[in-house]
Amino acid sequence: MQAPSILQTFWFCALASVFLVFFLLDGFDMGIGMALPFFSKEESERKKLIDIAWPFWDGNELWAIIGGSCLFAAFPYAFVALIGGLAPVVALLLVFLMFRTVSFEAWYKDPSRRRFWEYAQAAGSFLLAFGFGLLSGNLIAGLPMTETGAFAGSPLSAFQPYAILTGLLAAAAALMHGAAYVRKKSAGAVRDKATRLARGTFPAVAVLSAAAFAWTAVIVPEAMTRFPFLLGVAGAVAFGVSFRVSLGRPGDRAPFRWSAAAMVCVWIAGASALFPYLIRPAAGGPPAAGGPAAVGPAAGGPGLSLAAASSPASTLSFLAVFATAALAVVAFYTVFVYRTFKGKTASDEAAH
Amino acid sequence: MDTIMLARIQFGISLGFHYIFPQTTLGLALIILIAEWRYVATGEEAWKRISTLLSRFLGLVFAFGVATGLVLPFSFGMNWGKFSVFSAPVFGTQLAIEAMVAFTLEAVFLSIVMFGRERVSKRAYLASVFFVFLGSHLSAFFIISANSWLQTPAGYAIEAGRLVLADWVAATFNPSTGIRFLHAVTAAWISGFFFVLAISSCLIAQNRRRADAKRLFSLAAALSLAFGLLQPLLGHQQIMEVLRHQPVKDAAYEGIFESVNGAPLIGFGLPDAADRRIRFALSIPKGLSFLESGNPDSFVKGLNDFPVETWPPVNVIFTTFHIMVPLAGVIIAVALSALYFTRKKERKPLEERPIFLRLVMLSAAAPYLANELGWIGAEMGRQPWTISGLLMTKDAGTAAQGKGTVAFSLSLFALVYAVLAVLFWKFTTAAVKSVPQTASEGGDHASA
Repeated sequence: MQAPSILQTFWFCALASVFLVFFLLDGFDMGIGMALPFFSKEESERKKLIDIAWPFWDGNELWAIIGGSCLFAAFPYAFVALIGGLAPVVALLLVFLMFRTVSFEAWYKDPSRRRFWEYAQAAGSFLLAFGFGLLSGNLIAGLPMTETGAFAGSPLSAFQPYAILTGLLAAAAALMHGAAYVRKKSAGAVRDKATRLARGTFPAVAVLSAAAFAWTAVIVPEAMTRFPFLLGVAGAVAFGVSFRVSLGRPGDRAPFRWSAAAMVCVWIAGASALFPYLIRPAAGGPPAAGGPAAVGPAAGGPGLSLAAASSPASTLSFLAVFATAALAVVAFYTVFVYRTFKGKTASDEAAH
Repeated sequence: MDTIMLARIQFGISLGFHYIFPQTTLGLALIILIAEWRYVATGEEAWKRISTLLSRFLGLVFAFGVATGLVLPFSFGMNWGKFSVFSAPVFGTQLAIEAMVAFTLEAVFLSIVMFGRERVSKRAYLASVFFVFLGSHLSAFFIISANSWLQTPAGYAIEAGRLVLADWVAATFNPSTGIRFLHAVTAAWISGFFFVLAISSCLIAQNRRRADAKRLFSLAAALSLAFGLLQPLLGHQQIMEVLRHQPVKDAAYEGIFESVNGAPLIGFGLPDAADRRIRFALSIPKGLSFLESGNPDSFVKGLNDFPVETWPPVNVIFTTFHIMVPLAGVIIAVALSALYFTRKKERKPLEERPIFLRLVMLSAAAPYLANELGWIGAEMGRQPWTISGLLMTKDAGTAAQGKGTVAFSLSLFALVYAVLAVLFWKFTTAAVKSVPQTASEGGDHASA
């Protein structure tokens, strides 16, 4: 395997960061969405949840678009293998994303069917978070690829046990993160319910992430020798404990900060297990029966390395300069807008 | 039907449906910017109410635009694998830049426009409206630039069979970007203006905030007329650009088969590409030659002098073009009569013209139809190429993609778009109905 160039490594880190930002920001929207129909019997308290999430979903979701289009430009082979190879899965995810996007509008404008839209939001959010974890997990567990960098599995290849585990982890983490965000932005009964929800979700996240770390070490034994992987695991444990402790303390902003920090660490561990691949070689054995595996390699194939997946250096270097400048500006005004809305969300401020 | 055809239908449906929303956003953002600017400049509360009212619709249209637009970049990866891998160094770069520079600006500042009026100063709010306007127009620019690169590629090199970005400025400002941007954005503005005309007609007819609605109606009518009159000039420049760079497309637009000195301008006709003629053609003798060069006897190259395998689907693009052009007349006529009926001297107020108001509401379909037809003509006119001269459509698909996979996502998306269309209609009418009715004539200054 050809070693990745500095530019390819830069883009690996940049894309990992963009998708991390997406999950940190849109993750709490997904978590709030998942909790929505079950959060409270009081419609006013569920409305509160919507008012907390709504001002930000578009600014949060756009990181998926930035990530998708940067992946297209920088690593087109990986983009086509993942999106084209798993097209039916991606198509379903896009449909969930579409309905999730309109269901806040729908909640206000279609009052006779509010419960329906709450369940639509919950299902869409859960499947979105699960799908995000599922696709990420597949990169580490590996997918069947040909020598020429084309996908050689079937859409069912995505549903391998490791990826299902990471999918569940993503969904649970989003729920916990969303609960922490609601606590940060609310007061009174809503705040207390959010705290209980975060406390209830924590053991599931802890168990799932411990399982994911252990399984990753089995699939990618060399990860145990990589400093960022070990750092990520250690950080996740430390910040996870801090999160749990902070739930019982009076401050309302700390839990969200700790859950974000723990998620950053999990992501660092995952990305360092994946490097220098974008899609790791699938474990031996033929890909899922019934797929077009006959044309592919006998076993899982060579995976897709950064070097094999990338665009020419001229595009990577141009876009690197451009993206650094552009994302610095984006970060600046995103922070400005978040500061505008800082503090607890007032109940009557959303313009519906 | 082969896989490529299914994939083309899927992409066509996705983009054609998505296109409804951004064109509305562009015109709507301009009117909100004008209203907000008038509010800051004059302090009149009516402008603030108008801006707040329209920003609700902007939020709705934007949400549907994002929902339907998310599908598009992923559609390239799903069904157009060879295109994606080949074009990524240039085309993918433009999409990435659009997302980072333009779309983010619009999406992030939209939160302030929608939810933050009470949290920022008057001027910061006006600046936020401006950034939404700027973001949506930068977005239009990069998308049209990327699309124009498919029509008239520039700024690239081919090294060892792979496309390489050689000159980003040349690729971005390729020969057709400028005029296509002006033509498409003007067209989009007119759609946005007609959307506002339709909404204000509805508000006037139902006596909701009638004085504000009338003010909005006049503003949208004046803007529609101004840009409706400008558009034919831009359209002409656009056609001249097509003639220079894609002459076979131009011959198909105009329905000229035989090369001739003094070509006619065909105003109406039924194209028959198999028979190589336009049936029942109504035409102005020598009109096309005159329009193209100012000389009624100049030479026009017809389709027969191009190899038939390079022809686009002539029947389709002739027809779409010849429906789009007369729609410009409809737009100008509606805008003129709307302005006429809002004159100060007019005896009968608008609310006593329910039939006229209803006609204005219906006419909102005209600019949308014109835009969709113009887009179909431009894209199908590029066939048989996906990237002119570089990649043919038949070679652009995903290698291993089965027909069943494409058929699955096609039917899934078609179903979802149908549901979304119904929802959009319901939400828009609900938003109109949520505007409070005015108790007495013109007395809505008290409410707000």
